[in-house]
This record gives sequence, C-alpha cells and structure tokens, in this order.
Amino acid sequence: MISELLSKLFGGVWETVRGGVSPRTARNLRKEFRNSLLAKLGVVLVVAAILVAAFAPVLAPHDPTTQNLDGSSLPPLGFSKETTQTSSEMVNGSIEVVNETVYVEADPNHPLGTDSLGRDMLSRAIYGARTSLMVGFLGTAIAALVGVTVGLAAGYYGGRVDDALMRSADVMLAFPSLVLAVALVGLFGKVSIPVPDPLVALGVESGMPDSFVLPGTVILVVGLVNWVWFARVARGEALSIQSEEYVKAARSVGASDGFIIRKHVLPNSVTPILVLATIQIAAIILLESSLSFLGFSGTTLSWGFDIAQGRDYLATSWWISTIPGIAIVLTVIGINLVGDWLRDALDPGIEGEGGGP
Amino acid sequence: MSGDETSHARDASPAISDADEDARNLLRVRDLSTRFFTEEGQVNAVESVDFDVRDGEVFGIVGESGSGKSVTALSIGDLVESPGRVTSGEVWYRNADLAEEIDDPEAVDGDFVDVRQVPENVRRSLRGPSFSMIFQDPMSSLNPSLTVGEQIAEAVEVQRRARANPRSTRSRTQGYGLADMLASTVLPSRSYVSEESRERAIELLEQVGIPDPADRADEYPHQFSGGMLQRAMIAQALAGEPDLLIADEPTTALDVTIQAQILDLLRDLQDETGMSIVMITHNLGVIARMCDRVGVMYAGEIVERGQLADVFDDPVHPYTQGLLGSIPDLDEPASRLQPIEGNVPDLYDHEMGDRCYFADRCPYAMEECLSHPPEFDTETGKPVDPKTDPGEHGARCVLANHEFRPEDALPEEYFAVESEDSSGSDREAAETEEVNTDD
Amino acid sequence: MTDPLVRVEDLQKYYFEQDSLVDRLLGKEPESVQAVDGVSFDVREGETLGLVGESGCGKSTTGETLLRLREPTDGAVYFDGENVFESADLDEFRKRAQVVFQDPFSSLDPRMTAGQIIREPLDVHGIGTKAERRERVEELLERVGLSAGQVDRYPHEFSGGQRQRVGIARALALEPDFIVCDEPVSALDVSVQAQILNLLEDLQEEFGLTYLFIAHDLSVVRHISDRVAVMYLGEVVEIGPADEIFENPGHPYTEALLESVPRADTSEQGREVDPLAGDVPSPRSPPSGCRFHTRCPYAREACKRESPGDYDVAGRADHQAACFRRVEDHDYWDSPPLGEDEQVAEGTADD
Repeated sequence: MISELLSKLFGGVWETVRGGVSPRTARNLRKEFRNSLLAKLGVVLVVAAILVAAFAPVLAPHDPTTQNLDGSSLPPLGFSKETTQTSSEMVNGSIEVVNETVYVEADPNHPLGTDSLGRDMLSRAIYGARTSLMVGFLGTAIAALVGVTVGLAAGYYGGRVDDALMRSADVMLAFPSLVLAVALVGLFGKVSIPVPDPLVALGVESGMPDSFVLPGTVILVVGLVNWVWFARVARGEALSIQSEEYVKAARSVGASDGFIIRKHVLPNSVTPILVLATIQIAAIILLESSLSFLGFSGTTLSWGFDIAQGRDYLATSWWISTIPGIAIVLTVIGINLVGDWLRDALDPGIEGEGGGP
Repeated sequence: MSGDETSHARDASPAISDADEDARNLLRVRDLSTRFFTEEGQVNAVESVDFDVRDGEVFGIVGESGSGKSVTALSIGDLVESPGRVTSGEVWYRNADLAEEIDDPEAVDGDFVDVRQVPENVRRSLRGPSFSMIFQDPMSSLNPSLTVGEQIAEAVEVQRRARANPRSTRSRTQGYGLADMLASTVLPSRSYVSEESRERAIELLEQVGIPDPADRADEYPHQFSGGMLQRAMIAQALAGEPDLLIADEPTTALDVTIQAQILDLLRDLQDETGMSIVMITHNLGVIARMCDRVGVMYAGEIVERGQLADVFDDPVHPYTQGLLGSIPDLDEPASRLQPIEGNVPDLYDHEMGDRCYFADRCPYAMEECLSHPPEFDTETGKPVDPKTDPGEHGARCVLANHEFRPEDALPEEYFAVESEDSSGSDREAAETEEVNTDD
Repeated sequence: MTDPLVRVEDLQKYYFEQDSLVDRLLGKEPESVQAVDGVSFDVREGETLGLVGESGCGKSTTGETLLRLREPTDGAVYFDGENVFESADLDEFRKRAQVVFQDPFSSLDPRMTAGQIIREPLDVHGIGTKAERRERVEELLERVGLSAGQVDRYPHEFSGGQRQRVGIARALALEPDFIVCDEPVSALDVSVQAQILNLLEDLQEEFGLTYLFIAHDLSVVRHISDRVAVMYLGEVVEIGPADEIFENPGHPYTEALLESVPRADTSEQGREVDPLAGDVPSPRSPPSGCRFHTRCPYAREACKRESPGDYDVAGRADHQAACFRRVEDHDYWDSPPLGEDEQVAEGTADD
C-alpha cells in the first residue's frame, strides 16, 4: 500500500501541484502579489538567490576554494583593517621585536574581502547559496514526501493507522530538531556526493571547481527531522477531505483507496502543503547552517561553515562571519515572505468553494 | 409589559392629523437599497424596497436564497457589514421618547426616527426597546464560553442601565471600566451584571419555555439542544422588551417538530407582549402559519405584497404563482410539480439590466417586460407608489394591469440566446485566466 | 411477490467514541452511539422507498451503510439476492448501486471539471475508450438538463441546482439499477427543488431505476415515494404505502410529524397544532422500551418496559407500525399512563 502510494506520489507530484492551482487560486495569487510590497520583495530575494546559485561559476570572481595566504583576511571594500604587524629585526646583534601598526586596505579584486586563508568571500557567499538552496529544496522534498505519505494515510484511514503513525510523529516532535539531526548525522556518517558542475563541464566557465559537493547525509537528515510537520498538515487535510461527500461518491462508484487519495485527497490538500513547504525550506536552510556551524556538514562550501570559521576572528575580521550571516538572513527572509504571500493568497477560507456564478 | 408600553406610547404621542395610518405603523421602510461591493462587481442585494409593519402584526418576507430577504432584515436591523452598505433609503421606527430628544428635523417625523439619519449612539439605543433580532443559527450567535444565563442577563443589564438613564443616549456600558471588570473577577458584587438582571434572565428563560430555567441558566450553549438554543436566543432578544422582533429564518435549522414548538412560542409571546414580528423565511408553510401580511421578494425587490389570503389564494405575480406551484402538497399530492424554469439571478449590477428581473424565467414574458414594471394595485390595476400609497395587495407585474397577450409574448429562446452569449464570454474569460496560470 | 431488489435485515451501525489509543491507555471505556439499531426493510424493483425522519435519526447512516460506504456493525444487506456485506468483490455492486448526495457543494470535487466528475466512474471501471467516455459524458450532461458545452466548467461556475444535476449525471454514468438519494433536494431553493424532483421522476421512468429516497421534508417524500419508512432514533417506527402512512398514520411519531409540518395554505392560520414536547433523546443512551415514549402523548408504563414489535396497521400486512396501540389486546391498554414530568425528565436527562 505504502509503496504503491509512493510511486504514484513521485510520478504525479508536478501534475498534482498544477492541478491543485485552480484559476481562482491563480487569481488570488496575482491579486495578493500586486497588493503586497513584501511579497514582491520576497520574490525578488528568492529569485536572486536561485539565480546566484545556478550561475555561481559565472558570477563568482574567484575559485572559492583557492587559498592565498598573502592576501588573507582582507576587509571588504570601503573598510580597512588595523593590525599590528610584528617583525623582528637584527639590531646590533640582538633581535628586536618591532610592533608596528599597519592599515590593511581592501583589495578591489575581493570586493567582500577574504577569509583567514585568503579565499574570496564573495565567491564563497555565491557558492554557499548552492549548498543552502540544494539542501533546502531537496531536504524539503524528502520531508514532504515522507510526511505527506504518512499524513495522508493517517488522515484517510483514521483509527488505528492514524493512532500509530501520528503518535510516532509526536515522539519525533518531542526531540529538539538540532539534537536529533546531530544524532542522525552521527549515525549515518558524513556522506558527500560530488556532482559535476554543468557550467564548468560544458566549458562555459573555467578555473572554477569542476564539481559541487552535495552533503548527502545532511539532506537526508533534515528531511527526516522535518517530515513531521508535513505529516500533521497532510493528516488534518486528509481527515477533513475524506469525510467530504465527493470522496464518498468516489467510493460508491468503486474507486480504490489509492485512486481516491491520488485523485481527490492529495489535490485538495496541495495548497496548505505548498505553503508549509515554503516555510520549511527556510527552516531547513537554517538547520543546515546550524549543522555546518557545528561541523556536521559534508561540505566546506557552506554559509554555516564560514560563520563557524569566522568565529575565531570576530574581533579582528568581523566580515568572515557576517557576510555569510547576511546571506542566510536575506535568503530566509525572502523565502518566508514568499511563504506569507502564498498563505495569504491561498488561505483556505478564500480558496475552493464559495459562491460565484 | 411590552404591550402596555406600546399602548402607552400610542396614547402619549400627540396624534398628527393625517397620520392615522402612521399611528398604526411601527416601522416604515422607504426606498431601501443595499449593495455589496465585491471583487466580481456590485451586487444589488436589496433594490428600492418599501414596506410597513403595523402594530401587533406578523409581516412575512418570503423568497429564495439570493432574493435579498436576509439582507433586508440586516438592513432594517442596522447590521449590514462590509463589503455591504445600505446605499439609500429610510428606515423609520416609531419611538416617541427618542423622537422628542433628537433635534435634527430631518431624522424625525412625528414619533418616528430614521435609523439611517441619526448618529451611531442613538441608533444603538433603538436596539432593544424598538427592535431586536434573532437568527437562523443560534449556536454561532451565542458565546460558547459564557453560560446562557449570563449572556441573557447581560442583555437585560444593558437595557436596564439604559432605562435608568434615559436622557443619555451614550454607550450603556459607560461607567464600567477595565478596573471594574478586573474587580468583578474577585468580587462578584462588582460584576457588570446585577443580581436583578440575573433574576430577570431566569424569568425570560421561563417565558420562552425552558424547563428548570434556574438550573439551565448556568449551563453553556453546547449543553443546549438546537431548539433550546433558539429559545434562549429569543429570550435574549426579549430582554429589551422590543416593539418589533426581526426573525431571520428562525426555524430553518430545526427539525419540523421543534420548528412547530418555536412557531408556537413566537405566537404565544406575540399574544402576550403585543409586539410585531418581521418573519423572514423561505418556507411558505411557516409564512402561512404565522403571518398576517406578506411580501414576496425576488432579485432584491418585493414583487408582490398583501394580506396573506390575497397573496396565497389569489397570486398575481407569476413568480408567486410559480413558488406556490413548485412545492409538493402534503395533503393532496399532485402527479407532477410545476417548477419555475431557470435559476435565481446573481444580482450583479452589470447583469441586471432594465427589464423585469423575472422575465427570463417567466412563462408570460412580453415585449413590455423588457422595461422595468412599477408596482400595480391588483384591485384597480393602476400603478401605485408604494412610498406614499401602499395598496392592500400590490404586484410588480404588468399582469396586474392587463391580461397576458400572447401576440406580444417574447420568443421562447429570447433569453436563452442572451444567457448563452454571456456564459460563452464567461468561459473565455476563465480560459484566459487559465492560460495565464500556465506561464 | 417477486424478490425485492434490496433487502435490509437488522442493520446496525454503532459509532464508538473515546476509542483512541490514548483513551485506551487512560482506561476509558469506548462509548457507543447507536446511530442505526436494527433496521429492516425491502426496496422493490422500480419503486421509490422514502426514508424520512428528523436529523440524527440515522437515516443517512442507513443509506451509507447499506451501500457499504461505512462498515456495518451488524446485519445484512441483500442486493439482488447477494449479501453485500459478505461479498469480497464489490465491483458489480458498485456499478449497479449509486448515490446522490445532499450538499451540491461538497459532493463535487472543487478541483475537477464537470466532465471529469461525471467521467470518474467510467475511469474507475475502465469502461470505453477516451472518445467513448467523452461522448457518454456529454450525453449524460444533456440528459440531466445541462448542455454539453458545460463539460469543462468547474463546480463553482454552476448554481446549486446545476451542481445537483452534475451529481445525478455522475450517479447515472454506470447505468445503475438502484440509487440512494440522500436528501438530494433539501439544500435547494423550492423552485429548483421541483426541477430536480421532476428530473428524478423522469429518470426513474426512463431507466427503470429503483430509489431509496432519504429526506426530512415530508411533503417531498410523499410526493416522490411509493412506500415510506419513518425513522426515529435509529429505528424504523413505521413502514407502508405512502398514501396509507400519510392518511392513516399508525405511529404517534408519524402523526406528530405530519401535524408539525406547516402547510403553505391559508387554512394553515387556524389549524390547531399540538407540537411534540421536548427534544430527541441522545442516541448515546436511548430510552428504554419504546424509544419514543419520552415524547409520546399516549405513553404508558408498558412503553417504558417493553420494546414494541412491528404490528400491522388496520389489518394491512404492507403497513406496519412499532406501537402497542395497534394491538387491541396488548398489556399497554391496562398499564397506567406515564406522568408528564417523568417523560420530560427522562427525555432531557442526556443532552
């Protein structure tokens, strides 16, 4: 039953999402978009983040992994750094330590400065978007797949099935998600999957890393930690939809449970799931950053990782932590604004039934 | 009690010479229009409605969903909410005390006060003594977290305070601040609702036929059955001893045996207190059982009005005829029902046009129905102005004036073609929408 | 007499409350709601059996359970001689028995077009090619009084009456023999209601359909039914030919129902109505003996003690009522009447 459901879910995800967006929904979306400045801002931020991630090799001025110890910890443009340079000189046969205050000026080649190993911060921020968005989207996909399957089954069948599935979901919720994620990473080990970068492979851009590391474990783990939210929403929807008369009507003509779930229950619960998914992407990006910060990621090209790195230099080179931090904030705010827009436009109160000619 | 009051009011008011008619009226509604401004367009829910309610009578308003009957109730009860608005018209209540107090000559006519022209605080003080409302769904009209008795006592208290200070038309909750509210949680004696009001609430519950009223007053709405809740809501409405009770589909949500109880109760209460009732319902049986006079509403207008017997036994408007013909008779089942073809219109301003609104469903539609008919007196067959001279039995249909002339009849497909056209363009619009969705 | 098309025998449907895992752990006993408690009736081929009663009497549950849309607690339903509750393969039954629901809003999936909705039964059973299905859908649309051009419209683009027509077209798609009409007109305006009733009658004649017509509106039931069963608190209290039931009711409840309906006629003004007192007791703990005894104007001690069987009314075998008053030499006549206080107290104790 579950496997059948899974295969059907996979095949029909897009079709379902499309089918779930009725003309009325589309109208609401457009209207809400027109009226809301925040929605526009959110969409701009998210689209920007996606474009940056997709065209990272083209946009990044440097290879984000190239180290240059001569130009380490350079400040961003417009800032300068005051450091004490210590040199030793042989003066009259004795070694004298000279402390000299120097001003390190920003290098126009590294507009956002460099980190402690001299890697270009801008390039790292650009590449970091890839990790964050990939983990965000794939993690959410896994969470949604597991959660929606479980939730729909629980809500549709009710009774014992519901009890068993949802109580286990409650148990999941009782763990702090970060602790659970750390435990799971420990359990699975770090698995990193190198994915060839198409832009580099096609020769559009050279001098950039030719592959991109997907933190496999992290994606799986964030998915497994967050499925519960999807399960709850999907269950609630399924519970109310399964008592609708059109479901009874389908049953009365002899439709199987799988058919009903696929054709009626899923399409009619798409809207809130979509809204939840957007918000979950943001949550998962934050979770990934936390995991990277704690050193549990499978990649070193990640905003969270950079924040952790910069932590030691906060007093002298604040930008190493701050720039990836700002990137996270902008992305998460953007996604949440999009989520708010969807929620406002797709509010079930407005959606679906209701009068009209 | 309330009966005494009404007669008292009648005596006290210096009878204006030609106002014999008026003296018998309790409510005069003139040219009332209510519109809803929705995204899809302007909806003309109530369209220039005139009617009177007389002392001690039950006036019925009957119509199908979307006929504007409930919006009419809300409009005369001053409860229309956004996106709806009463756009024009006058709603005159007879309230001599209040009429004396108001200086604005526009808003006062003898003993009558126009709800639409007085300030908000005056309007509020009409609620209770002049009119109160009951609705279809008592469950959502009562607060689930307060006991039934408390809620009724509160209504009594509001009225009691208003009476204690009749000169002040200000808010009656005045003088009861946040501090008092906090204090009342500790000291029952400081609560807003006085002990007298509580006792009165129990009396009211008893009056509406709730057994063991003292015990039931301490129960919460969810512990009441549907019929009991409706009784409780009636009790609440009676708190202000209103001259007029506006009952909006009061029995629609109830089973027939309970419906019979509630209708009986309303009749008894009316006998007891002498109040008038505006009974709004889609159920012709309820109208027949309860009402002295009736107005039939269609597409926001009153299309026929008159004494119950005139309208039911001798209907002139084809819609009234159709309505009566489409309900199966319990005692003499006919082999086949005579439905009205087509559907109730949507009332969008841009779709209404200038014709008789019923013409597209009317079996007697003629050329002249393409212009909007006035109201005719069915006796004389002459057009009348319902604002100044409401006849006993009027109908907004040319058939009241002359017989159906088959030679003038509109071809059968006249409206079919029109509606097909408009639905076609609707369809196109929907399709464009969809295309847009795709990209 | 030939065998009935549908035979319902002692149908029971209980719902259990407080039956979740947590309740179990807390040691709460599941509480049963006896929605349908031992209902038996036949529906003969080509007739309309009206099932009437007030809300909560179990009439809709009966309809849904006999279609096996809900799992029965006990009892049997024979469709064309075959026990529906025991048969493993419901395919044939699902093709031949259909349902039309009350709510024209919730009975149509808002995200499907009229065409998709009507086609669904054909899809489920894999009947015909795509083109054939399309053709069939258009034919059905026209048969129920819509136009084939409306096939791609969504439910919200239709009026209530038109939606109900779509629902009827869906029920007709598989050419069924038997349709359960579950309050099909109670959400509609009177003028539209008459259209739908006429349509149902025409379809019955044209396709030789058998209806179980569930409704709370007595005049509608009388209009459309050949025979009528009256339900009260999960039980059938009276069953018989429509005219018999309405002209010579054998059960005090039927009598009270008939009296309560306000007639749309001027004679209604003077008609004396003595409405039933009290409310319907809760099906969680139905009254002992005759379930109607808490509201019955004729109740006596015997009614409280003993559950009435089905007795012939006026000596007719086809008209039965569950009331002792139909038996001339029953103990009932000798037992003392119930006090009014006793009745009301018992009737309201559990709500």
